[in-house]
Amino acid sequence: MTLKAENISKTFGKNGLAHSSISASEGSFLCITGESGCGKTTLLNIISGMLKPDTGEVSIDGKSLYSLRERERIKLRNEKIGYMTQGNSLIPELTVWQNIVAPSELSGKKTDSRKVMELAQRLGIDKVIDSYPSELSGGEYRRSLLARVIVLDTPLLLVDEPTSNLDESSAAIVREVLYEEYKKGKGVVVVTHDREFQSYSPETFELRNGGGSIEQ
Amino acid sequence: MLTPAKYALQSISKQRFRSVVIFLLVFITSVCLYSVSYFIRNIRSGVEQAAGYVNADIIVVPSGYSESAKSSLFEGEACTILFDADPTEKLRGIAGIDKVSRQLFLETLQMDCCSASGVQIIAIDTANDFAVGRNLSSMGIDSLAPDELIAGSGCGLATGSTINFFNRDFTVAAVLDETGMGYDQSAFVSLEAADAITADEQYKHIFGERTGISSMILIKTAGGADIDAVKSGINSALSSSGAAAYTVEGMTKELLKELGYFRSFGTVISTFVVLLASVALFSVITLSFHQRRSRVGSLLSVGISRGKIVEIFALEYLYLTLFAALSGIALAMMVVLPLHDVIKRSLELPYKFIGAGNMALLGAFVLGVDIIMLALGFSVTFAGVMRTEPARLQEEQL
Repeated sequence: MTLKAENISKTFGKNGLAHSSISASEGSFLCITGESGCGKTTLLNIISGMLKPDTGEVSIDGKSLYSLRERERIKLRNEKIGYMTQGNSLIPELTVWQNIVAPSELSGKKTDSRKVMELAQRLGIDKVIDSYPSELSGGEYRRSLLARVIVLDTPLLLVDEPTSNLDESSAAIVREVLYEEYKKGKGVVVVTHDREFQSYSPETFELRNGGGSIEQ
Repeated sequence: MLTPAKYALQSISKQRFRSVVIFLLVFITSVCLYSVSYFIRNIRSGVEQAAGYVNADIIVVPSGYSESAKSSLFEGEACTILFDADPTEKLRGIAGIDKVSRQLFLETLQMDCCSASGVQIIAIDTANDFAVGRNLSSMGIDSLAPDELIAGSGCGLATGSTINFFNRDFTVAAVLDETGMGYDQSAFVSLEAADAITADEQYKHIFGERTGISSMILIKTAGGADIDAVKSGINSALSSSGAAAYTVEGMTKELLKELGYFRSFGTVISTFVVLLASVALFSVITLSFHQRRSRVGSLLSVGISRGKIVEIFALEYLYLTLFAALSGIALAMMVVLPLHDVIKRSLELPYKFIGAGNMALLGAFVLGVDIIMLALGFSVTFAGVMRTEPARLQEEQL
């Protein structure tokens, strides 16, 4: 599966993303870095089908992402592209376990409880699995968000700032788990300021205000 | 397995403040709407039944007693009305009259458990009566013995029990179904029993030396007769005897007018309550709008369809509405049912229980109003959210 963004731009007042192109596919690991406000999250939003670009084209396996109906784009984020957003997007009314299984179970799919528990153990959140998001530390929260995306088992993972504000041990767990997913053959796109990630990535895409491009 | 229903229930229990506010709004609306509607419908039911139950076209009472007769007939206010001279025989010769039935109204204070203003004893001619009497045969009663009576539904008497009026013991032969009118607070005896009371020495000071006295003559006109013309004919014939004729339609017209006032008042109150609750609900839903926006954005980011998201939030509001509305309706029922007789006695209008089926229908109506009210608030607020691009629902992450 190949995701390609060509010459995409999006403006918000004075800020925005200008003329950027990237490509990611299964078995690749791409780091996107750049200064705050240069449009890294906007880029992820656009390539995940969450935000339509002003110009440019995003395609998945050669098919234009934004020519698909919105329903199909949402379905893609459940089946092909796992997207971990930057914000505090766990559902506060649900436990960690329920948050992790929600994307599949609310879409009518069954989850393998054993697999979910193994993933929780790998991420070190098994002890807080029945807690509510408000009871978690920052590290546990980010790792729970990551678990929610990994459990979908999509071929491509888009991850926004997975280690920001985490202590080193939590950050190490997150990097390790994402690397394992990459080793399993998944494509991983990480927006990060964490230089440790760059050791996994053959190439780093540094986003500047003027845009840029990289293909893998 | 996490289902939309489970998510919705958890959301209700975790967001307690919001849930309690929505519950109270729907609950109060339901109590008010149900109570007011029930009250108005009972009055309407009473007024509609009253005209049919009298089953007469014209009523003849002593001049100046039309209000007393109306109060007694439709509102259950006990009174004693007596003709100076019985006009029954004069009436029989007037054209257009089919049936004539006399009734004697006696007021007693002896059974004040029934009514603070006493009990109306109505003596009826069971052989010729076409108002109350026509219902007796369906109860298996052909005639009333001098020591028997038929009790109105609001007298609190049971069939077979004994009651003392005017120093005489009467056995309750039957209890009438609720009529919604004065008959509910009345006890019906035979003319023979009434004549014996009025002839009794100890009551001469009330009824005088006359025998065979009457209070009200019910008239059924012949088919095709002009009721107003018959009424005029009766008034001409009785002009010198101190009696006057009134059409039942004319009497009930005033009741219908009063019902109209009550209905308008009830509609204004109900509309006000529903509008107020709708605005408050809309505000509550809109206030939690920002919180909901990020939830929607989060769910969309992991591929949960918009339809499923609407289902989750709609279920949450629906559960709350159903619970609040049913609790409100149940409370309203628990209040209005035991107070039925108290309301009836304090009203100056016919008031008849609309029946369990109509109560259930009214409950369904109130539930429907609650759901429509909530659906409007929900759809207006969520329509905007659901049209927004997923990333914009998490604006801090653009």
